[in-house]
Amino acid sequence: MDIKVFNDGDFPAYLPKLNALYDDLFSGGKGFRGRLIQMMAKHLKLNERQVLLLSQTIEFIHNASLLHDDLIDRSPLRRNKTAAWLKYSPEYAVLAGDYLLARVMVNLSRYGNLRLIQYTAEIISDLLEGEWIQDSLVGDISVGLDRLDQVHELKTASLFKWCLRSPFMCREQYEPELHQTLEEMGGILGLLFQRGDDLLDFDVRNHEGKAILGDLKAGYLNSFGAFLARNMNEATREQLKGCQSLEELNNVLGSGVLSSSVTEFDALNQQVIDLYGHHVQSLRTFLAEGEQGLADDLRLLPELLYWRRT
Amino acid sequence: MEPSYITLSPRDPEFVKHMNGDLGDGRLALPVESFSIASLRERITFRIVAKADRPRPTWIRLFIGLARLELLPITWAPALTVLLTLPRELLLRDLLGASLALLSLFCLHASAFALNDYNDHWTGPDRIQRKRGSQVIQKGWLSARNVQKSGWALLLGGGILGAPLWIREPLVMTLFALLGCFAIVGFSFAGRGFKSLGLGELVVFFSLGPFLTVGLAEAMGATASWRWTPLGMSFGLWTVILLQVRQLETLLSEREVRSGTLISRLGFDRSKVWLRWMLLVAPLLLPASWGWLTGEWLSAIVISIVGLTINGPLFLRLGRAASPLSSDLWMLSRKVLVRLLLVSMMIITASLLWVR
Repeated sequence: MDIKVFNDGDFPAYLPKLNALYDDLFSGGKGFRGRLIQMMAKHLKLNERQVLLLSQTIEFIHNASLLHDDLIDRSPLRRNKTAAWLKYSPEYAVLAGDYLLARVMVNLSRYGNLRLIQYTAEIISDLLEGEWIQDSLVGDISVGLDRLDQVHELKTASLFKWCLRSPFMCREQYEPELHQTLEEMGGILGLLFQRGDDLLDFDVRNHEGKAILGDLKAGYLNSFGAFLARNMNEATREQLKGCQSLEELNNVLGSGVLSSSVTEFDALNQQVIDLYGHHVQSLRTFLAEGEQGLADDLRLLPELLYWRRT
Repeated sequence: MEPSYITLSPRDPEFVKHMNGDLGDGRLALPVESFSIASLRERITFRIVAKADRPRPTWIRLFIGLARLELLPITWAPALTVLLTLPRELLLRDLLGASLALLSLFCLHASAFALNDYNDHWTGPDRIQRKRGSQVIQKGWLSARNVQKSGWALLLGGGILGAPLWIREPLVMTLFALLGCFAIVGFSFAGRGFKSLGLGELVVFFSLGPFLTVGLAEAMGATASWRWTPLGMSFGLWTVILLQVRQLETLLSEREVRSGTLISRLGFDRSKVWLRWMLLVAPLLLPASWGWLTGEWLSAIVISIVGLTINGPLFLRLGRAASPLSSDLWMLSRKVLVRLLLVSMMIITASLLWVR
C-alpha cells in the first residue's frame, strides 16, 4: 500500500503559500516513518483509513519538527532544497509547523481514539523537550555520549516508539507488557537511527551523500563526535570543533584513529542491536500466528537504520 | 558464554533474584534497560553474563570503589577538625578512643554508601544514569546482594569499633548512634528512603554535620560540646552542596525517577541560583565557625579568602551551564569535593598549629 500523506487540497487554499510550502516539504522526504507505519499496518491488517491517519500523523509531526529545527539552527538547506524559513519567511515556517501539529490533533480527535490522542500529545511533548534541551547543547563540545542519548531518547526515539505502538492502539490492543516491549524496541530503533545518521556526518556508510561534518560545522557534537571526543583534552576538543573537512579531522585525530573508532562504535551498537533482537523475540508472544511476519520484518530494521543496508 | 537477555517485571518470581545479581552457577544478571521506573509498569531487561567473563578489579580497587573513599572528606574532615580542636589533654588522654572513633566513622561512611548504592540500584537512579554510584554493581564487580551484605557488615563493624566510646558515654552515644542509623537506614534502605520525600538533604546535613561534631566532642568528654555546633553546621552545608550539585548533574534523569529533592523541586534555573550562592557562602561559614571556636580569626580570614578564590571558577561555571546536560556541569560535583578537601585540609592544618 503506498500512501501519500500530503495531497493538494488537504490544507486551505485561502492561506497564501501554505500548500506550496508543504509541497516542497513533503516531496523531498523519504517518508521512512510513514512507511514503517504502513509495514506495521500490513501485518496487523488495519484498514486504509487507519493507515492514512497514522501515516499522516507521524509524517506531520516529524515534518513540523523539521520546519522548526531548520529555523532554530538557521540551516539554509533541507533535503537539498532551500529551507522553508529562508524560502518563505521565518514566521511562515513557525506557523506551518504549528499548523501541522494542529492538524494532527484535528485528525486524531475526529478518529476518536482517546488513548491514541493522549499518547500522541505525550510524544509531541517529549519531542519538544528534546528539541529544547538539544538547542541548549549547541556549541557545547564537551557533552558526553550518555547525555546526548537522553536528548535522542526524547527527540528521535519518541517518534519510533509511536510508530510501533500506535497501530496496536488503533486496533484497541492495549496490553501493558506488549506496549512496554514496543516502547523498548522503539527506543532502541530511535537510538540506532540517530547514531547511524550521525555516522553519515563523518562520511561513514554515507551512500545517500549527506553533507560531511554538517553537525560539527554548526557547532553541534553528535553522538559519534561525542564518542570520538570522549578521551580528548580540552585543547584537542577545540581543534575538533574547528575542523572543516575530513582531512583536518584526520590530522587532529591521528592516522587510523577514525576507522578504529568507527569499529569500536559499531561494536557498542551491535550490543544494542542484540538487545533489540531479544525484544523482537518477546514481541512474538503477543502476535497471532498470521502476524509473525511483523516480527520478522521488525528484526531487519537495524540493518536499514544503523548499518544503512537496503 | 554468549550473553543472553531476559526482561522481567517486579511481579515475576525471578525478579528479585535477578535484581540481586548473582544467579548462581557462575552467572551474573546486569540490568541494561529499565522502563517506567518506580511505577507499577516497571520492567527491567537484564544481560546474563558469565562471572568469569567480567574483568574483576583488584581487591583494593574494589574496596576503594565500594567504600567511596574519594568521598571520605565529608566524614573525616569534620571528625578530624573536632579532635584537633578539643582541649589537648582530652585528646592525648584517649588517643585510642579517638582512633577508634575515626575507624568507626570510616566503616559507617562505607556502609552508608554501599547501602545507598544498593538502594539506588533498586529504585532506579543508578540504572538510568549508569555512570553514577560506585559502579561496583553496574560493572558486575559485585552482585547487588553482596553490596548490600557488605553495607550491613560495615555498619556492624562501625558499631563494634565505636563500642569503647559507647561504654564511656552510653546515653549520648546511644542517642547519636540511633540518629546515625536512622540517617543511614532512612537515606539508604529499601523503598525510596527519605530522598523521595525531599528529606534527604536534611538527613545529610544533620548526620554529617552537627550530630557528628557535637556527638564526637561529647563522646571524647568535652564540656560545652554545643560549641561544635556551628562547625558541624558548616561541614553539613558543604556536604549538602555536594549532594545537590550531583542532583543537578542528573536532573534530567530525576524526571524519570520522580524524586522529591529540593533541586528537582526548584528546577534547573532556580537551582543554579541557589547553588551559586551556596558556593559563596560555604567557604565563608566554615572558616568563620572554626575561627569562632578557636579564636584564630586571622587564620580564619585567610582560609575564607582562599576558599572564596577557589570557588570562584565554579560559581562562573555553574552560571554558564545552559541545561542539565551541559558539559559545564560535568564532574562539577568532583570539583566541589576537591574544594571541600582543600578548605578542610587548611582548617585541619591550622588546627594542628593552633596554640591554645
